[in-house]
Amino acid sequence: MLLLRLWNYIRGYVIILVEGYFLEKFVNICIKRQIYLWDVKRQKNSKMMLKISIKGFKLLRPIARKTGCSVRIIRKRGLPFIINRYRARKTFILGSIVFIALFYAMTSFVWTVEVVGNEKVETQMIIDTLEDMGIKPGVVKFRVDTQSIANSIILDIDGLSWVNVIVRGTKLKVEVAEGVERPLIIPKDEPCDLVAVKDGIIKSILVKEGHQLVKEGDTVKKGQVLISGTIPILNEDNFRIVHAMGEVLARTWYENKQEVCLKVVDNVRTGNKKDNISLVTFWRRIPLLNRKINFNNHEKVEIEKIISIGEDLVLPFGFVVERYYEYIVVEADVSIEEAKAHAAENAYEEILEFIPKEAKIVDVKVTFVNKDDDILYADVIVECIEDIGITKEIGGE
Amino acid sequence: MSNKKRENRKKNTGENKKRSIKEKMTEFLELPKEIVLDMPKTTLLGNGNMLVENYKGIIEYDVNRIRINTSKGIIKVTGDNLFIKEITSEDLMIYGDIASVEFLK
Repeated sequence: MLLLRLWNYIRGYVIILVEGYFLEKFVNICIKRQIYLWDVKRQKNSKMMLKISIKGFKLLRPIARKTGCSVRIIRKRGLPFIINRYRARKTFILGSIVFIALFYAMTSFVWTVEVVGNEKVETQMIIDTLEDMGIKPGVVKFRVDTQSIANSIILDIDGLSWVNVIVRGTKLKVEVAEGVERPLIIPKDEPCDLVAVKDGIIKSILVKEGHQLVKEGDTVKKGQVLISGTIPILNEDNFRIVHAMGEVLARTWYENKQEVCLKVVDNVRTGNKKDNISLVTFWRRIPLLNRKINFNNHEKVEIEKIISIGEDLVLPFGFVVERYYEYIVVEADVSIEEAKAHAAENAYEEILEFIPKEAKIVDVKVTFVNKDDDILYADVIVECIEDIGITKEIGGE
Repeated sequence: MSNKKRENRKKNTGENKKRSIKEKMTEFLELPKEIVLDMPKTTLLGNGNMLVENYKGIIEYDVNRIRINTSKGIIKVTGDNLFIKEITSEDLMIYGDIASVEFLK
């Protein structure tokens, strides 16, 4: 039934109201002349509503005259009427065709390249590799052989264990998985000592191989041998030379000083801003609105908006708004407490850069010292526990 | 009078005989009766859906009553909200709350 209705819709039909005294006769004659009627609904006052195909409707006039019925169109339905409505609007149809064609053309290029899944390998490196292969924004989508690209990437770039290239919409997505780095092979036949990298107090020492020279609680200096690679053999003058290995955890201290400033220089935005808008097409900028910026001090913020349909269908059009904020330099007094906290925090942040990642921070001490000239300093001492051992060839550097 | 009567009877019996042979033949050959014997075929689905095949025309059409002319007489359908869903030269489909179907000679 659904199919029939769809068919009727495609062919087009009219809903008509027939009024007259011989409605039965009207229907019978219609049937005799092979006119298909459906949804014939009888109404009061000798009226009847029915649906009839366009073809049938054209044959209706003589029948209506014969039976003395009047026929009125209530509604026209179906595809032919819709097409007819738009037949007059030629430019509209042309426009829509051009639009579809243009849309198809625009979306058959690769407009963005996205790399996901990489942590160590730089995204730019992968993009550069792709560019060398000729894959960059603007390439025709259908010429991109994802399989061979994936293969070349995996061959060209070290450290990738799996590469998958998908073209979705106008986006070329490179999914990569990084392999686990090859473990460092310890050259056991190379005789080595384990020496301290920095000063500290030994917290624990675990010797895997070699001769232990320091014990827990010892203070060691940078360069001091912790585990020796030369093992004296008991009751003999001879030595056995090995590659010393072990874990030496030690307490280490890091210190930094920072002046406590009572005056803070701050940039305060005045609220004045100016926008320069440029249109970006095919990654070329066309300035639309270019005004002179006559602020004394200004901050520039670029807001980029590339038009895209959904997440994957990125179009090569966009806007860049360069927003300039005017600011003035304000010097403000701060309370001593605030200034102290600020200085301590700054000092701490600076220290963090020197502390290796593996180190565990145990304690942070902040003291304020008055040095000469009445300048107050924030002194931050960070205590860490870290492995200070490093192998050093015997007799080498 | 008697002659006429006899003639009449003869005609009747002849017709009966003819019809029965035709009927027997169709039954024997398992042909669709409604086509060979030109009889209407009515299909009722519950009381809301009625299909009449091989009809001749409609005599009366109203919301409460529809009369259909067939070779076997008139079929009268009464009920509420009756309407013709589809009508072609072969079949007629009636939708609505059908209360009764009568065959009138």
